[in-house]
Amino acid sequence: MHPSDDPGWAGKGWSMAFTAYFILLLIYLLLPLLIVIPVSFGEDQWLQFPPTSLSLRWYRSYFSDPGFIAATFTSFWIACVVSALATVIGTVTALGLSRTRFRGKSLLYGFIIAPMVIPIIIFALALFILFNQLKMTGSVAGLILAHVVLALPFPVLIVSAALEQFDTTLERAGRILGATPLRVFLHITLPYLAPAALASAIFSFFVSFDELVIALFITGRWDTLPKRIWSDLRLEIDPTIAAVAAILIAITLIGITAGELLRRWAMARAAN
Amino acid sequence: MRKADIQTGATVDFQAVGRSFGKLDVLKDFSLAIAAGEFLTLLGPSGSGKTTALNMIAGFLQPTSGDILIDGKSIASLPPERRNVGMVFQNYSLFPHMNVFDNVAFPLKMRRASAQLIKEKVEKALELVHLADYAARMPTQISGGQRQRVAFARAIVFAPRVLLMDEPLGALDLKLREHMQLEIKRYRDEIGCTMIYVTHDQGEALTLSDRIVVMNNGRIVQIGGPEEIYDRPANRFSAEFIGENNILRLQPNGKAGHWVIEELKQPFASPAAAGPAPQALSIRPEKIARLKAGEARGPGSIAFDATIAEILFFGDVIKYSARLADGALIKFKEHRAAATSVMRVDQSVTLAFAPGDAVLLADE
Repeated sequence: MHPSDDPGWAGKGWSMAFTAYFILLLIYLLLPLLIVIPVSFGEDQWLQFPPTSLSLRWYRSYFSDPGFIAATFTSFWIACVVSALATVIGTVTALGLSRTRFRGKSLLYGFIIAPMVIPIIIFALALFILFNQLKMTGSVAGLILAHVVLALPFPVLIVSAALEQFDTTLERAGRILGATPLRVFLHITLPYLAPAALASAIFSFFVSFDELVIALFITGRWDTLPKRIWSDLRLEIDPTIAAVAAILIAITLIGITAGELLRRWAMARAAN
Repeated sequence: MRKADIQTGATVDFQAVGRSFGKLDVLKDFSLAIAAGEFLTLLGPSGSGKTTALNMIAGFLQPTSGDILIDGKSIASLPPERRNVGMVFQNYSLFPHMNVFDNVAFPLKMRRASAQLIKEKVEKALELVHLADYAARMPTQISGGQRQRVAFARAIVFAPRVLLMDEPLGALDLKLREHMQLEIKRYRDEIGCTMIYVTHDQGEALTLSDRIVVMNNGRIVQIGGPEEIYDRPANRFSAEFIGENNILRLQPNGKAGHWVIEELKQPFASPAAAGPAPQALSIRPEKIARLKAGEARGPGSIAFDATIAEILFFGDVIKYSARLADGALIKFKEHRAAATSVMRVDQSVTLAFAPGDAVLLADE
């Protein structure tokens, strides 16, 4: 080893401390998930860890509860609509931002990204006041609009990153080879952006699917899945919640992993 | 064998074309008539306006003044997709989500050709560039040289009458570049279209072109065939930009057609040429010979003493840089067969050149 490569004892100490810190942080983040999954497979009447015996009792209880199923479907289709709207609007916005120069562009960019940094409770409260004025509380359209705003930073950021790597000479090549601007967009630009847009759609879906605070403020009488879980938790702590949580964890894990793989693929392909 | 009857080139005429970006004029009063089927190279340093001229034929840029005609018809109002011009880009610009076949098929699909015709033409184009077996590969699965050949196939598959090439070999390494120059010569013999080639590489320009247009600062500096451009540079810019050259300053000697070469302190005479008064002469390194001890100089030749300052050994050729009495450096070349041995640094030599090999240059 080259002498200057040796971090020395002090360096080794720091690197060990960082590794320990990282492991502790992972445990802290993952422990609740690791507990809820075995609990969901328990037989006991109450939430208990470790479970005394295993069964699918609470999964059956979830699938046979019409309230839970209805809330799940509501959340699912709202998330699908939000995902589609946010992806289309976000992709068009990213295209517009990448191809124009104007004063206040970075301000507009910041404005679109704002929902990522504004505390969600502030956003929810503001929406509540606004929707009250507009008599929109309790409307599905209102919740969809709010979720689209909340999800929009994902498609804008992901598609912008892909566009930054995009070689616009490809569009020139398309034109000189005989394609109109519209066909260049459909045959060259859009296929290039497809993985980034699909990743955006998945992330946007989950922004809406597991969103609780805004739903609590503005949905009124009907339930989304997170809202239903929340109200169940307040009334009684029943292991059905653990089963729902386990299902949610599984779906989210698969979805976000797929989204992240797509995003990385989009970036790697752009780098070629 | 040329199959010019299959595909014939179009003429391209620049008529006093100008282009400015804001206050910057990148092309000034550019007039040029390109013959049908000609291989013409726009040669110049970056910022000379050569790529701007090319992009205006493609339709990516509009002239701010003047007009461009293809086959005598103005193309000003035609968008790029309706100009029927092929183009090869420096970075290949293959569509990354399409395989080789689909890339080459793209211009035909845009022209709504039948599947049968597309298949025939793509196969023929891939055969021309020797990539018939690569149709199913993705662009990432082939080498740089192969990508550029696919780009050529894609640019000519729809039988354009003009093919534009924007530094197509710039991204390739030296060996591959030389190989691709031979390939391009072959393509041009097999397809008869007009080819307009942009490069800053004077070697490429000399090898490939029928005619070379030397450009600098948005203006045409000289137009001519490769030999003419090399042997008779019209001015100092051409003399310095194309090939290696020695530029020596001339001082008027009172009499018309007589000067003193400043660096050599020797008289130089030439029939006074019309046009601007020459301020310098250029002499190619290969035109300067070393006189062996006791060897008589040729009648009328200009001889001078120098000391070897630098030696570049190329195997077949040795390039020397020698210091003159006044400190200036002069380059000369010797072929290995003629040279008895490689000289040493600081060795004294006597060099000579024939006045007829020197070219008189005005500054502009």
